[in-house]
Amino acid sequence: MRLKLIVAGVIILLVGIWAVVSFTGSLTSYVSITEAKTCGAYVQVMGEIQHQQVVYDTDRQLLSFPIKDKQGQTMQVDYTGTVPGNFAQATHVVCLGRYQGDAFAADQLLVKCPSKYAGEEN
Amino acid sequence: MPIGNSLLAVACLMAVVATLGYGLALFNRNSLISLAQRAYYLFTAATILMSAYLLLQIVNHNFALQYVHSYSSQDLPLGFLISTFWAGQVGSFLLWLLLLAVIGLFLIRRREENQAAVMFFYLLVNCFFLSLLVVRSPFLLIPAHALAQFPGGVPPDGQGLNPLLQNFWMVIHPPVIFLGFALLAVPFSHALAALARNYYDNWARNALRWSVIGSATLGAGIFLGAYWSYETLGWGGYWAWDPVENASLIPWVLSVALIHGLVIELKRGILRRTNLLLALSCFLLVIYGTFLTRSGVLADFSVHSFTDLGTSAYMILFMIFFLGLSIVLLIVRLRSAATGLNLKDKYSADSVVLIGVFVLLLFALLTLAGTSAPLITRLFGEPANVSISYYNSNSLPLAVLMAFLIGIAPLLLRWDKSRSVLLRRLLPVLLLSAVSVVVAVLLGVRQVSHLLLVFSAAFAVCTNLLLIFLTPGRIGLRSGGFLAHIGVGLLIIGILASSLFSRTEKINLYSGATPTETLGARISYQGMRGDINTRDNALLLEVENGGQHFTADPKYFIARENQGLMRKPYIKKYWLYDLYLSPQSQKTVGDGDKLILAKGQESQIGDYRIKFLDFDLGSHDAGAGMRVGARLEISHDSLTERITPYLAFHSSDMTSDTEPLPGGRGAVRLLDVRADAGMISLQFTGIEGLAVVDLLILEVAKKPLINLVWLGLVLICVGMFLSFLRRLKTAP
Repeated sequence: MRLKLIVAGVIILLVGIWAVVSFTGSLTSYVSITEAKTCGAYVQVMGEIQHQQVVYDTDRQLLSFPIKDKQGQTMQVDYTGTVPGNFAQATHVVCLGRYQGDAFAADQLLVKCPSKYAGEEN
Repeated sequence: MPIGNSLLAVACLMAVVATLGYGLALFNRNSLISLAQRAYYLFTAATILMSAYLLLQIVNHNFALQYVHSYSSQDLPLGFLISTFWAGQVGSFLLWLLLLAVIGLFLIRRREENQAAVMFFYLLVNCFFLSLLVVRSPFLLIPAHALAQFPGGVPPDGQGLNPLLQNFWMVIHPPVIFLGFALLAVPFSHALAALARNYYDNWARNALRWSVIGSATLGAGIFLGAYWSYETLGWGGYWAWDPVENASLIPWVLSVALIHGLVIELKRGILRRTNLLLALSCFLLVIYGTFLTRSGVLADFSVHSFTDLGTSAYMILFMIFFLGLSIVLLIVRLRSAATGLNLKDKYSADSVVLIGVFVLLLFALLTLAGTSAPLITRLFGEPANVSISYYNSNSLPLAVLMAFLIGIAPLLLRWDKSRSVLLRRLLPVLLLSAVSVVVAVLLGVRQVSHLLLVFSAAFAVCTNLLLIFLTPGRIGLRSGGFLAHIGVGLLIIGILASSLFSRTEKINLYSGATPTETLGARISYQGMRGDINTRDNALLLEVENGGQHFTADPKYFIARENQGLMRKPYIKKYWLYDLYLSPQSQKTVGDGDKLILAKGQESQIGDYRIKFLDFDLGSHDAGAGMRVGARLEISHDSLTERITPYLAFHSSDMTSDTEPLPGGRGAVRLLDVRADAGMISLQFTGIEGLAVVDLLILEVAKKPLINLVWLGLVLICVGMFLSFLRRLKTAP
């Protein structure tokens, strides 16, 4: 009986450690544009898409656009992946990536789509 | 509208009466039960009428109602019009309440010891949704001063339904999910009732039946959502670990764990406390998921944006209430509900199922932690989110383990009865699984964990298939579990193959150009079918793939409702893979042959630089009318020349001369002048780069074995429905 408890305890402990390590290891912090520019780490930034300045480079298949956060800071975002289907309708976007050189190299865009629960005024 | 809100008031009143009546029965005051029953019928009737009334307002286009105005419009076909019922947050709460109320009709007539207590807790859940509707009524009118602006006092049209939601799968996906959620409220109520009354006879049997149908329905709903996102959004994926998706996945995984735990409890009389805990947490997580996705707390972390309608405080209140209730009851009955965890025969199918229950629980917990990461980390400082790799890397070892367990369990189930048959068949089964690994290696799978996954999944498919054939009656209700397990195995292989071997290329296609070869397919772009501003306008592609020729028409249009660009991929299905054609963007390139310039303005056309200096108004041809010239400075290759094309006005028409451009090729003529505005319009010929060409950026992807994903999901749902039918037949 005691052996059973010890085995169970060890398994639970190991699983717990594994879970915590994997959890903290993949945490991506959510920062402002100012922080993203200075820290250089893999982060996620949310901002308002400046739709007038969205440029799609056909040859390099590079989508680049500035975003503006709540503090009023702007930052250029470069993205080479698949452009999310509702990018054109989105007002805000969450960019995952890191700041390199003079632009934010994003490898994932989370577009805030006007989902069925949004769009209700007042 | 007084009718809607009056019905809401009646429903509230009756729900309160019924709750109180059943509540008193908890304390052995049974005199009020028949009154409570009648109140419940009236509550259900009011809820049904209320829903019918809202539907009527939607179908009749009563845009004076805020809800109808926000989500529907005159031009919607009936099917989509009906779906606007649940397109908004409030309407989806009403739908949820309607489903709960109707499901309750199947509960209310049962004669059982815990009956009144079950109804009491079930009514508490109903009251929760009712109170949300009281906070935000779907029958709210647009304020009178706003209505006054419209002729007749009613807006002529609504804002319309989000075009992304105007899709068949999206119409049926939310109600199915809500039905699953609502069904899971029944085992929750059974668990609370059993704990409250400390009476556990029949609890497992009752809970099992409802959790099987709840789990099957919720699973089907999740599947529909996954298919919708694959088929419509053009992100190419069926699952993204988005909080909204996880919010329904976590309760589903827990409900599957609950089903397996309950089967063991029924067979062996053990595991009761774990099952009670699972039944409670399953529905608590449904509420938690509703809170996460509807309150706006995750707005910055989800692809879906949610607006808080002022209901999140109530959701938190109810979450704390139900959580507190569950914890208190569990603690109070900690000893009396105990059954022990002793399995007499350790190496039986049941002990394998038992391990499976805990693996599922662990998976649910890890996913829950990931989904709640922004909330958890907010306690310690800056909110952070886990990346998708967190979920993927956690799922891999758990999936390997799960598939092994699913493979071993059926063998152990039959071990005593048909050991010799199993031993004879085991060799081919192992051989087949090994062959699948060899095939995987040949196809390029190298990672050991992936190969383990292939082996265990193939093993699971084979042993469960074997058991179907060994079961008397073969494919019948008894094979439900095996079918669902085969589905899990196929699903795992499908997910692995489609995520490891999907290949994606982006190509630039010019309309009318020769075909471009990508991923073995030859694709040429024929241009746009119609006007970009019409619904369901498409791009036309001629595709030659695998000796087959077809026309693909991915949708590409600007939606009227939100002026947004809608793109829908074209998917060509083959047995072994999908060819997934997803338009990225379409535009016209080239300068065009016309140029409009103001005086002093400079512009580029082709490789010429044109500057409009001024007008030449000087020359009047006697009798021939007036001639106007435009003095142009034209630069080309460091060569700068001035030329003056003329436009001659006759009594009835105008003529213009064509002037050659410097460098010998190309010419320009003056099309029109507007001397008052100082503007001219020029037309060029014979210069390169003038033609306007339609350019399409197309994403081409090959997704191997994606059909296994769908087949697996269908089998899981079908298997679960079969098990439900079987449980119904064996009802006491």
